[in-house]
Amino acid sequence: MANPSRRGSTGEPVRNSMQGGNYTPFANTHFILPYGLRLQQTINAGTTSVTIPAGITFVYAIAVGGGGGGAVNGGAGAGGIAWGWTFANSTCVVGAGGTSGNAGGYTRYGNIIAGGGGGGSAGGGTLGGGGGAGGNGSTNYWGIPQGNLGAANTKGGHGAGAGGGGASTTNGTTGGAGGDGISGGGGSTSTGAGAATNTGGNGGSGLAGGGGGRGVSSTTSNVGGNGGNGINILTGATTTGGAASSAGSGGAGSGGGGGGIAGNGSAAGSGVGGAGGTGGGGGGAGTTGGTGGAGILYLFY
Amino acid sequence: MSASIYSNSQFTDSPYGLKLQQTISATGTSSVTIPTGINRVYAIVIGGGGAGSSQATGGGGGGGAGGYSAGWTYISTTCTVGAGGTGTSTSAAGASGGSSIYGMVFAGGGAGGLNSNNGGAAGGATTATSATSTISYTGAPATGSGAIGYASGGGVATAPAGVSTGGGRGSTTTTGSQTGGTAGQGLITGGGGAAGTSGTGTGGAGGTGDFYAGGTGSSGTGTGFGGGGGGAGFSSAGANASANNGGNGGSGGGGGGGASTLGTAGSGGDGVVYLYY
Repeated sequence: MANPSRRGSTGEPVRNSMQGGNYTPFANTHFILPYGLRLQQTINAGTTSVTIPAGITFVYAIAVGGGGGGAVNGGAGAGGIAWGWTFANSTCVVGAGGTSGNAGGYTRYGNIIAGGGGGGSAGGGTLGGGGGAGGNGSTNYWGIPQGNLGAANTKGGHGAGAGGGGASTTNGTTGGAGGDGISGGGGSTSTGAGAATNTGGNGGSGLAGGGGGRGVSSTTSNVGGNGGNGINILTGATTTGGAASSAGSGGAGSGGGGGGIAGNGSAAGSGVGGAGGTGGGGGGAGTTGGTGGAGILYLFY
Repeated sequence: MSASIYSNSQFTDSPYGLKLQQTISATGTSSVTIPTGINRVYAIVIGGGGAGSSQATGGGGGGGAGGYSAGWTYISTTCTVGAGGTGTSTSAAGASGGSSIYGMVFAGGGAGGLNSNNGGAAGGATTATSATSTISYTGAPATGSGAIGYASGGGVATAPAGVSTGGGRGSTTTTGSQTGGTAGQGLITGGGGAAGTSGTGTGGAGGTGDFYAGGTGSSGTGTGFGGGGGGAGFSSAGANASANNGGNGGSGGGGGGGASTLGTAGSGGDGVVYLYY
């Protein structure tokens, strides 16, 4: 089935533009936004009930699953994103971000469903979620295919849910970055022993970004990967991934959290991965992995 | 001056503002009359739920929920609504539900409970026949046993959620206190798994639906108890289990509950088609 949101409502904007008066420029900040409708409700994780005004039979929903939690083995994948029309419904499920090493929760409203991002220990994404470092992403609600995990030192594959980066065990070689896509994959680790700097892979970018990887085992400098950037789908502005942390001999650089569709990722701390941004950002890698960004649900009518 | 541009008021992908005009729940193929001037309609199509399974020893698995599909279609003068799978007392897999079709919108039936303790998967665009679901009408992927999906897989250790959910797992242990698996939460849900034991057996509940509840499992001592509850349908609740018999799935695709020890498994709920214009 074709994505039903790619064509806006027809008629007036086209007719006006042909007349040269009341010209309506193409101002859609992103193709998944429903042209002409208003955002009426924003629903955060943990909420289970929804009130839709009487007479509204159909609602356009954008659902974002929770980001995965980062782990000592790598950054986490971003939560999946689904969009489309569904009947008005009084219940919803909005997924929480995954805690350290765990997958994010799914988000569903009616028949619109998005899965969570994979955890940082090679966790696979679900229903559009990005893969954690070393894990595959997932095909999403609309059948847009997944990206697979990257080979050693290699960036994960592009996809609706992008693949996680491949780990580096060679000193001085940066870990694979997470793949880019709608939901980014998690960046991987660099763990080879030696004097050269070990740097974790950056998280993949997308509407929601993956968490950055971790650098460890260098006798001189260990640097984490930055979180991948996301996009605020309501404004088109970039949500930034969090900055990585660094450490010298005996320490570890942790990964920043990925940007969500509604918030920036957090910077990493000492031994702690940065939290993913609200709206599905993946958590960064760390001895204690960063928590994934909570899912979110937008309702338009 | 005003330009004359061909403007087709029906040419929009939004169902916003449409009204439910026809509900077709009679199973099989029937005729449909659409008013003159309506050239396409928005259809919600739900397949039949799968029946639970019955087992000679232990508890059978619950049936999976019918698939859910929605979208615009050209008008058609015929419509097919899939029947729910019929539950039996034979030790075997449950029957899958039937597919529902209107125009180019179609949804498959849920899988029957397996000839083991596993629950059947939910239907996607086509009918499921195992613990693995089928690809949804939107293209969301099929999922395996125990996995979340648009159409989720059959229940194993955990009950997977989805738009349409798989049936709960039955318990195979025939002694001591045993409990069948509850089906996952969703829009339309699978039936609960059964428990067949000489001890206290409690059947799993049908999954909790958005609009309706799943049926409860039965509980008691001995193999004459432990049937699984029926899954919630789109248009009615799942039935409670009775004795060692599974509860029937709710209308609109609910999965049937599993039966214990040659009880009669619950039948799946029939599908339904809604037309908006």
